[in-house]
Amino acid sequence: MGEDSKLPRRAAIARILAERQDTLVVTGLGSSTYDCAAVGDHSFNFYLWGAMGSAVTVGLGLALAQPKTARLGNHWRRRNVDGLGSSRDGRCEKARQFIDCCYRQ
Amino acid sequence: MRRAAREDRSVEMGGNRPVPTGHAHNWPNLVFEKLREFQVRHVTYVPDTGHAQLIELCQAADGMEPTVLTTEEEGIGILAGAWLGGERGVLLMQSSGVGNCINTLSLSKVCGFPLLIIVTMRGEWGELNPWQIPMGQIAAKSLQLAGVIVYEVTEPEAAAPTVEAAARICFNGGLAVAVLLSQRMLGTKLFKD
Repeated sequence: MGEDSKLPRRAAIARILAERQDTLVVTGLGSSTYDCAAVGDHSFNFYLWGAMGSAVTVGLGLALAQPKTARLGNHWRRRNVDGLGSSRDGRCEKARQFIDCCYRQ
Repeated sequence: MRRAAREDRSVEMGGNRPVPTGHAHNWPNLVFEKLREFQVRHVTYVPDTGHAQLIELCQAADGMEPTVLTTEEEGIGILAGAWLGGERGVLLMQSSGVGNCINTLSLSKVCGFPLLIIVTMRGEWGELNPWQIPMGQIAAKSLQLAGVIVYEVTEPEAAAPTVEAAARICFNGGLAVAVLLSQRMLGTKLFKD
């Protein structure tokens, strides 16, 4: 992969989070944690730095407990396809939006 | 089974009907009542015969949020998220799922989130299935090594009081606590049918 085709992650995340409003952010361990922290800490961020595969499920738990609050997904979803299976039962519109967001990334 | 669970909803509603006590087969109702007492809302579970009655009670209960899992450690993440959202939950699983949870248990430990787990034991007491034995024999020790407080229950009468003690230490202390329900109280599956 050439340098030109690389995604400037820090800039991309900064741009996404600039419009976050009340979005809750759960990061996967590793790069997404660093990227979100680099934008500047926020009380609506929850950073995973381990427990690989838990970003999707933590997000689902939040969605179920706080269905009125917006949220944004993670990019460790491939580790946790099963987690999406657990969460994909359509009980909660925000949970669906959260999952859609995961898929779109 | 489903019908029985629905008929027992009086328990969860605070109950106009008295809950029978001291009956060996009534432990799921009494455990369910304790979960309600401690405002447990999120019930994450892997389907399991030993937990079936408790799961059905939770599914039928107003205001409870059951989530069926594809693998046990997902429950730890969901309950962490629910806690961040201000709500309590419980993880129901069989001892064979304990090993799946080990790394993910770091989430509740590092963050100091409460985690209440109720485990039905296999491979522990007169087990017929040899595949259940390796994990069943190390389930309690594995949980303890991972920093989980373990309460073991061998008599059905002790199930609800133990869940109460576990819930108190869990939610007040921000700790992971597992209640292990022995095959001695659940009965050992003999596959005779």
